[in-house]
Amino acid sequence: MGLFSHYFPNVADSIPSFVQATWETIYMTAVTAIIAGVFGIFIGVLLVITGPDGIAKQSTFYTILDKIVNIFRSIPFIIMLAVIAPFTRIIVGTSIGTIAAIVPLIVSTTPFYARQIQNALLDVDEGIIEAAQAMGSSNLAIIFRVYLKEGLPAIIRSSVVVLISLIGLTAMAGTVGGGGLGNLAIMTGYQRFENDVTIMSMIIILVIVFIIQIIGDILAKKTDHENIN
Amino acid sequence: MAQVELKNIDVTFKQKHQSIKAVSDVSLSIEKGDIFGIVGYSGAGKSTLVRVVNRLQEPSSGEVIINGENIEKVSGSELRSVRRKIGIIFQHFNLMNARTIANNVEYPLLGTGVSKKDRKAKSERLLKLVGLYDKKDYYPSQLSGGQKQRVAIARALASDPEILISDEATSALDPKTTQSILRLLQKLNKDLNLTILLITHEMDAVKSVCNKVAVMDSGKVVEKGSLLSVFSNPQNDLTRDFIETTNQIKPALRVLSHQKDFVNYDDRRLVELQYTGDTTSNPVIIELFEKFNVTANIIFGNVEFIQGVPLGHLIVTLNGSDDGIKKAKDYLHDQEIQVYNIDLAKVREQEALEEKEEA
Repeated sequence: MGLFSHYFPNVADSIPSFVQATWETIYMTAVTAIIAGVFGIFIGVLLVITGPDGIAKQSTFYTILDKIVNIFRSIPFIIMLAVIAPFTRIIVGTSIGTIAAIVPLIVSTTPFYARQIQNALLDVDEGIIEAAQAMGSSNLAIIFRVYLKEGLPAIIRSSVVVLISLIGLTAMAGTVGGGGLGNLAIMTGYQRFENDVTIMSMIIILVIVFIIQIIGDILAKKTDHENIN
Repeated sequence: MAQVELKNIDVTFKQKHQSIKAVSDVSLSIEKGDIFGIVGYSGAGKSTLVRVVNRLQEPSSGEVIINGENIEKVSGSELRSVRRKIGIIFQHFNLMNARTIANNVEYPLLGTGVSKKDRKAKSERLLKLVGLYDKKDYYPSQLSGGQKQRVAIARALASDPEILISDEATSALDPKTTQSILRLLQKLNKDLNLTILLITHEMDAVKSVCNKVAVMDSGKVVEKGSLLSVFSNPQNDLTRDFIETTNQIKPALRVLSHQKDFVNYDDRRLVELQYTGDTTSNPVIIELFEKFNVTANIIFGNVEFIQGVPLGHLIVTLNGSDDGIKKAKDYLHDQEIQVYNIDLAKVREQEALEEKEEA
């Protein structure tokens, strides 16, 4: 402990706030990931099946959805936080705090994830979709038994990318009192010149990112039977 | 009653400024138990046409009648059950990479109320049928092209189809594997009384398994009939081109056209004889000598069996008096042997023309 408190004096003094901040980051990330994950997959699937060459082609619907996704993807998160604050207040009753940060996180992450899902599913061989149609599969069966199953390795890889970028976004949640490691690094580490706090925050975030990356790689490899050799 | 009846099928693809007619006024009648070949170069509209049969492609006009039922208006679950009765195999196999071989074969049965146990039993039986039972827990990426196509065949058979469409299924395979897949199709045709629609650009494949054939060019069927009648008496130039790819007559003529002994041969004396079936058994060559004092020297011969009937081509030189040769030709004609004069100068011209086109 001696060496640790020598190099990280301020960290050693504020272990509980690190535990708290880490928990907040994980909490924001996990809740957002689950909700944005469901919405993102849903919208991504809609984009694929209604899009050009989709199994349920709906040109007008696709064009509108496509534009909405593009617009929401283009808004920087820090501005999104402010812009949707009134909406956040309606939904969760407050526009300040960890819960309040989750609403803009979802709004920002969903279109990004939807686009990633769309790209992952578009990579599924059209011939396989055609074969499934020829075998009498309904559109719903094609979504669940073909698209989501054949696209799973690509979905996992995209999910890792989105999850890591989501952790990046949670760092900004501090601006609305959302807490988390990003907030700790800026408010305590940067603004009070406690550099060791900044660095320790970074290290913890890196560890979380590495863990996600490693788990993602293992899962992707396990589900990918296309590139075995 | 025909099993598949296509009546005046048109398929037009509309693009922004133009419309492309992929299939134009095609009518075909496929009987139960047929192995019906549809042959044509790529872009002839073959694949579009067969997709009309299971309505993966909507025809712009025309009727599709399967087992007496017009499937033009069926939709939703009804259409899906029509599709289950039509198996299809593809050039690139289109197996699902995320599923094992056994699960691929079981796929068509998912959601049809067949129990897991029955699905497993069926996939195992079908994999035995195509000779890949020992690979049932493998994934498609671990198999060779020929093995993948066998799995695709097993999968196509899982829902007990009455019709199997083979869409260029052997085009990505080497000649030996092609033959083994064709033999498998032939066996299924015989054992299961499965009607097969064989789409291909390889006339060899048609020749080895089909009993009927239709030749397509630019969306139209230019010739159709029984394999033997089309092979023994082709009417269309394209059909002739396709038939030439399956025998050695054209290359043989080209070799002759450059040989000193034949370069200036009188085209009335250098002839190609074509005969079918029974006529083969008559010793005509000897008869020509006995009856007309004409000797026939065989330069090249090609005999093949089309649906079990021999179809022969002989290139011969006839030697004798002018009158004798004329009478000999008439006699051959009476024996139902077709006689074509060979003009080697024309063969050379043709060859030069083709070389120019390729360059």
